[in-house]
Amino acid sequence: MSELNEYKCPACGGAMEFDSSLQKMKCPYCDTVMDMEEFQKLDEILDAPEPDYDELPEDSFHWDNEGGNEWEAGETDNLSVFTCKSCGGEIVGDSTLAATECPYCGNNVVITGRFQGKLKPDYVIPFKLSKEDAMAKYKEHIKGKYLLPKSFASENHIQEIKGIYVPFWLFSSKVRGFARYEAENTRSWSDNQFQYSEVTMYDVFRAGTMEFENIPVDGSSMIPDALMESLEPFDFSQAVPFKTAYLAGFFANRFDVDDKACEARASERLKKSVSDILRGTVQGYGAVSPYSSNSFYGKLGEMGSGLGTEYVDQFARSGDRNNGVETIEGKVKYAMYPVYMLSSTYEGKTYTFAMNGQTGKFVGDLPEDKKKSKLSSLRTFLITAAIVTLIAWFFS
Amino acid sequence: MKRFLAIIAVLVLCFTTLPLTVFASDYGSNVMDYADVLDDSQEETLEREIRTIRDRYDFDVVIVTVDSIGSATEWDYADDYYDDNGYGCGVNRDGCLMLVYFGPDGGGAYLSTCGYGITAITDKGIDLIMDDAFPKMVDGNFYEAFRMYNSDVDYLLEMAKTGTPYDDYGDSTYGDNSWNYEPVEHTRSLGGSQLGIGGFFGAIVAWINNKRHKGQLRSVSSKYTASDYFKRDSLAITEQYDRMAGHHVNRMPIPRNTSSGPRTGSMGGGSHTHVSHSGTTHGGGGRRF
Repeated sequence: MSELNEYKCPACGGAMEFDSSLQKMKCPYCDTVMDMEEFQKLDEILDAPEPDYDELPEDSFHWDNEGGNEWEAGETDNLSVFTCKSCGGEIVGDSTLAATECPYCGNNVVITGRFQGKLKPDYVIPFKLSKEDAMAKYKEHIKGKYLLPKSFASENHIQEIKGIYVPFWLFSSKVRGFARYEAENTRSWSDNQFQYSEVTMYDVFRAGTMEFENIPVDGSSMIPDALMESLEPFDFSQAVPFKTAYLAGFFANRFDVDDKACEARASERLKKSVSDILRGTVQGYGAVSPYSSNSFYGKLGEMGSGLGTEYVDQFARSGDRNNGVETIEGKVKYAMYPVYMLSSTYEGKTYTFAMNGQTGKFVGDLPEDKKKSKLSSLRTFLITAAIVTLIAWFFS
Repeated sequence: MKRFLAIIAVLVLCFTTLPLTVFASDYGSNVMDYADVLDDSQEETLEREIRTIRDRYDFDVVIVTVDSIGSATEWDYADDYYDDNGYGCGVNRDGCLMLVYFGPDGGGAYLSTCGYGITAITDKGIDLIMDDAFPKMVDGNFYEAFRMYNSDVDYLLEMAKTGTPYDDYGDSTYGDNSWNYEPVEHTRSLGGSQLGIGGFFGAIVAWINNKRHKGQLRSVSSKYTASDYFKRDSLAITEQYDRMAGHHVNRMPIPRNTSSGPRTGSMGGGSHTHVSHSGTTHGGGGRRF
C-alpha cells in the first residue's frame, strides 16, 4: 500500500479529492472547492514556522533621557521670571521687557525674580513668523464665524499677543509591535434553485518594527495640552541646538512637568499609531476585527467547520493576546517650540488662542452667542417646516 | 302477579323507547336521508355528533340526501331546503347543510353555509370538507363521508373561534365578504401629517445647521496618534500569516410562488356568497360525481 497523503479539508476535516472536471481540489462532504495553489499554501501553512508567541512584545515603553545639558554660568543673567498674581502663571523673559499681560489669563504680570533653572533645553525651533503675522492670523481666525458674539470680536487687546517658547519633551524610539486579527470574506451567488452564501474566516497575524521621532508632549502645566496638540505638527528638521540668544525678544516657559510624567501621553499616542500602521497592512478582506479566541472559535463553531486537531492545537498555543508594543532604545529630549499666545476673557470665561510660530497654524475655541444661536435655529426650523409642509400638502 | 309484571314490562318498554322519539321530535331531524344511503344506527350516530356541535357552538349542521333534485340547481335546492325548513341557530341562522343528490346526470354533493357558517366555513374550508368527504362518497361510503363532514365542521368552528378562520391568507382581502373596496380618500385639505413631516424636517435641518455653526467655533482637540512622527518607510514586517481557518457554504432554496390554482370567480380568501330565493345570504360550494 503506497503512502497515501490524506488531504484534509480545512472546513470540515474530510478527505479532499482532485476533481478532474473542475481541475481543483474538492471536498465531497462539504462542497468546499480550492485551487491547487491555495491548497498548496495550506500545506505550507501547517508546516511553516509558527511565531514564538512567548517572545511577542508586551506593552512596555521606556525612554532614556540623554539630555543633561545644564546652563552655563552667566547664561541666564538677563532672564527674569514674570509671575501673574491672578492665575499664578509664570513666564521667563528678558529683564528689560516691561510689565505686560499674562498670556494665560490676560491679567498683569510682574517680575518676581531672577530666572534660575537647572536643565537647559537641547533644541529649539526658532520663531519663523512675526507678531504681525500672528495678529493677522488672529483676525482671520475670528472672521466669518456666524455665532461669534459681536462684542468679542471688537476687543482690542490683540496687541498683547505674545511669542513664547513652550517647553516640550520629545520622545523618539524604534518600536516592535504585533497584532492579530480575525478576518472574513463573504461571497454570494445563486442558480435557479438555490441562493448560496460562502463565508471564509481567516486568522491574520502581523509583527514588525517601525520608528517614531520627536513625539512632542507639552512640559508646561499652565499650557493646555490639547491646545498645543492642536498646533501640531512641528517640523523638527528646522530645529537647532539651543542657544540662549534665541530667547531675545520672546518669552519662554520652563518645564514644570518632567519627562517621566509625560511618558504616558507619548506611549498612548505611540501605541495607537502602531495599531493603525499594522492594521493598514491587512488588505483584501470584507471584515477585519481584533482577534479574540472567544469570538473566533465561536464563529467557527457557528459555521460548523471542524478544523483538524493539529490546527486547533496550534491556535491554542498562541493564547489570547491580540496586540503588544514595546520600545527599543527609546530616547527623550528637551526642546523649546515657538508659539504665539493670547488670552481673552468674555463673560467670565477665558479663551486662549495659540499660533504655531513655525507653521502659522492658528487655533482657539471661540465663545457662542447663545441668543443668536437659539433665534437662528428657530428661524431655520420655521422656514424649513413651512416649505416642507407646503411641498407635502401639494403632493398629497 | 303476572299481569302486574306485564304492565311493568310494557311501561318500561314505553319509557325506554319513548326517549328516542322524544329526542327525535325535540331536536327535529338534522339527518334527512331520503336517498336511504344510511341505516338507522348510522343516522343516530350522526345526529348525536350534530347535537354535540350544536351544544358547543350554537350551530346547526344538516345532512340531506335525495335521489333527485329535479330541475333545480344544487345550490338553490340546498339553500331553499335550509331556509324553508327553518334550520339555523340564532338571529343569523348560523349553520350549514350538506346535500348529497343523485340523478340522471350523476349527481353530486353541495355544501351550503348560512350566517356564522359563512365566516367559519370559508371557500377554503369548503374545499377542506369536500377533499375529506367527497372521495368517500364516490366510494359509496356515505356514513364515513358524513362523519368526516361533522368532524371537519367541528374543526372549522374551533378555528373560527380563535379569531383566524381556516382560510387562504396569501392575499390581503380576507374578511371582506362583500367584494367592495373602499375608495382611497383623496383630499386636498391640510392635514396633521403634512405639518408633522414639515416639523420633522424643519427640526433636522435646524439642528444640522446649528451644529455646523457651532463647529466653526471649535478648533482645539487632542491628537490620538503619533502618525505625524512616524518615520516614513521605517515599517518592516518581520512575521506575518494569513491563514484560512474556516469555510462554509450555506444555501437556501429560492421560494417558488405557489398559486393555489385558478378559482373561477373567486379572488382568494373569504367566502363567496349569494342570495337565495328567500332572501337569505348563503355561501357554498360543491362537486359533481
